Amino acid sequence: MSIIGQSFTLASLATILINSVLGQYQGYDWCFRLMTILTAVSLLLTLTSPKRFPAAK
Amino acid sequence: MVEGLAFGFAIYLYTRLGFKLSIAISGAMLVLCYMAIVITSDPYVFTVLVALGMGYGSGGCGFLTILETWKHFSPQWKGRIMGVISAAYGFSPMIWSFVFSFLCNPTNAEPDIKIHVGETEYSLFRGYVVHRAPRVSASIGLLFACIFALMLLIFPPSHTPSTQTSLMQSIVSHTSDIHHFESTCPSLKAALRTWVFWSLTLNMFCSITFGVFIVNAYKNYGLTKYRNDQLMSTLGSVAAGLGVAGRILFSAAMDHMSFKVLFGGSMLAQLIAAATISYALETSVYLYGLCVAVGFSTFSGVFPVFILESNHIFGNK
Repeated sequence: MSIIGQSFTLASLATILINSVLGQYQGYDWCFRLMTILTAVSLLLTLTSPKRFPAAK
Repeated sequence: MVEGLAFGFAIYLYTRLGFKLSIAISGAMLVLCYMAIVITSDPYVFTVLVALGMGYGSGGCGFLTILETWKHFSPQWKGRIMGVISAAYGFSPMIWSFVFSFLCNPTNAEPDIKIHVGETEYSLFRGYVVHRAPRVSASIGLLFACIFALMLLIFPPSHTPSTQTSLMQSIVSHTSDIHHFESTCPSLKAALRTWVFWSLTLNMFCSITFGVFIVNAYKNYGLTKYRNDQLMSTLGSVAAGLGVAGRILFSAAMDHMSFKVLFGGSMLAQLIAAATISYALETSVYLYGLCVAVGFSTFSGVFPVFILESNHIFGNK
């Protein structure tokens, strides 16, 4: 549960920063370039993960 | 941020006070926020009220409703219940976006101020649209108060969990129905030592940022090309509707597909949308709408996937 809540909080914080800093001063196109990179990282992490994560012990 | 933090605090209140009192606190925060922003003219107070009231109200209500409703149905129905409630959670912007736009801007007036900050152009409203906003906010607050009162009246009596353990057992019982896991992580400290924890956290962060950004910025970004407020509201409502469908489909698919296949597929779609959204905006409103819909769908869908997957791996911690 903490993973969900805190990652969501971090993503919200990052979005505020991206929107207010990158969005305002560089334009939305730069924001979407960054989003593309982040999504590519997520896809890479997913593709390199095991089919089902083992339960932590 | 407040919405994210509210998940944990709302669960704490739920374990101590029960469902009705804790949901009443969340609802009161939301309603008071809508009322209080009408009487303040200080932008800092306004920002704090919106962040705290709407953030806590929204975050506190959604997850508690799922937890409470699970207790009134058999375990076999829990997955479907989560899909239906989280779908309703995603469906509400579709309704309220129309309501807000219609009440504030019934004649579909165009934005009448343009301001430039850096490279970005913002289209803003002045005049009667702005003057109508406080009264609309107060009306919406009253409407929400009635909806919360009705919900508290018709919801069956709550069985207050005596300890946090009993609550967590109810959560874990759901995931165990699906994944049949037996091992649980002994502590958060132990979880922090595993690569799985950091991989999942980074994956969650990277995957959800696009959706959070789209939900917040699709309208302003769209208005830079199409100066039509109601078109953007309609587009957002349709995208929110597709987001609801995505939430139901993701919930249903989790019973049959692995995390890797399900999440890999959705991230591939999101990658294409993120890479082509600027081109889509310049080309066609439909293509732009499709990219926004992908953002809404993945934003809605990854949440239940991560809830169940993190419970599968780390158990009730």
